[in-house]
Amino acid sequence: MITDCHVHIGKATWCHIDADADFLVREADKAGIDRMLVTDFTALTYDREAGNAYLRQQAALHPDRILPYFTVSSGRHGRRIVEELEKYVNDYGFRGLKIYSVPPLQLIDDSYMIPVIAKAAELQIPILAHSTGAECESLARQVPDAILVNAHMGCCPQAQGDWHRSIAAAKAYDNIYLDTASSSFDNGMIEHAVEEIGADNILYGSDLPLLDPVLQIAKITHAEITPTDKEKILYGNIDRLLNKRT
Amino acid sequence: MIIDINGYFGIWPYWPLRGGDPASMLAKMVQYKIGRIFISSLKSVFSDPQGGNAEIKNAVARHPRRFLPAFTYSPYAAGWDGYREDCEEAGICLIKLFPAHHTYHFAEEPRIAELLEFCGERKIPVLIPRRLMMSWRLPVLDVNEIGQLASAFPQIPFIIGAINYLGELQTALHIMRQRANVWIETSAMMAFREIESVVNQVGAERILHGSALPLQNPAIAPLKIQNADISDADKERIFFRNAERLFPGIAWNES
Repeated sequence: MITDCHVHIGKATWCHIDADADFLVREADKAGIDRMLVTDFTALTYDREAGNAYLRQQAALHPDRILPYFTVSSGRHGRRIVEELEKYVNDYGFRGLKIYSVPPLQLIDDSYMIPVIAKAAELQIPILAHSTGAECESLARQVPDAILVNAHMGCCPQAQGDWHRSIAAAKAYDNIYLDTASSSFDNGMIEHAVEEIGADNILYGSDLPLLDPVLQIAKITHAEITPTDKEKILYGNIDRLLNKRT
Repeated sequence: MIIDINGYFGIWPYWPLRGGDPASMLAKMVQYKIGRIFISSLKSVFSDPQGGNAEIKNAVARHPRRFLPAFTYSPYAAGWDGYREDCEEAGICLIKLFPAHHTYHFAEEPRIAELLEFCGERKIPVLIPRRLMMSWRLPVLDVNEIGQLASAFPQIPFIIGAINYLGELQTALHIMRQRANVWIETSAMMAFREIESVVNQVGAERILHGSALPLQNPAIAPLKIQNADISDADKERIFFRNAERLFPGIAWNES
């Protein structure tokens, strides 16, 4: 059983991607992934409304496989985003929120984003935050009930690859979780994370279709941790978070 | 059999490194069926190239059927001209250069030109990693610098190391299409269908398996080749046949 907490759909010119739901399900079948939490590229980088609408339509084609994130890259569109989030979760069955930090243009922990985070906390949905560990800490302080998943556990350019900093954030705040998706696979990274914070706050993610999910799964299955901890990371923890709402 | 073109050993200054000693590396090589590995010392990267090269000689002498030497030189460090003695003593070796860590540019360094003239005369391959490992917190080298060297020294097989994906991969492949003496290794490739893409664009004949062991999880490097949707013949090329061709003096079947 595998639930992937970090998958993309749609079009992105910067990374030469154009993926629809059928493609994702085909690749998930090859990799042995049962369910995917999916965010739309267009919503992330250009048109929030069109992107989230496309994801809604695509997720409906494979409702047992694709669990959609409502995606927003900026809190500066005002109250409307909060209303959209609530509608997508309550009316359309979206299962999480995806946010994206774009330093220095805008950070996810600025005051504009807080009402969105607060709404996600109220809805008890996971928030996949492409950000630094420090930004997640800031959000955890400001919205203690938020379920914050630090995307890539720091292994992205915005966080300068500092997975130690992300582990420290998850150690400091129980409501910060780490997503393992990234093109980094430092020897001992997963083991160190489990030693520092335990396995309960670590979630498997692939970043499909940017990265190869088979290799991302291998980061967990080949880690020197217990079989029970592998199961928690591959599906147990994210399933527990998703069940908070149901 | 798997030949690994890109291994290290030594101390990792930034955080505790698991399995950085030769004994641990040997165990991982057995576990992941890596027959032989070219190793360079992290001491050569961060502190003392000459001292690091001495460590390599010792490790290779202790495990000659497993380890192969990858020597490192800096134009600004003691022993910068030790390559003649090191390479002649070793017989077969790889040269590995780290200008981003040793703070120089190839085109500005007469001592590097001298080293490369030597490599060209003896057809010694030169591996130049863009980064030590796939980490966003480490310095990177402009891949075009390798392309310029490959044009200036067409007799040397240059191996572009630790390429990740997108723009830097496109640049590396462009250089490979332009220059027949440029090869690439796989240690930092993690993108979706990246191995397939490289094979489709430049063929499998100049791709070499690399792991960056012990800096990176050793399970991943072989898996990305095994799992790629390419022919078995191409997998064999990447795992060991290309390395056999690049280092014809080595009796690989002894490992």
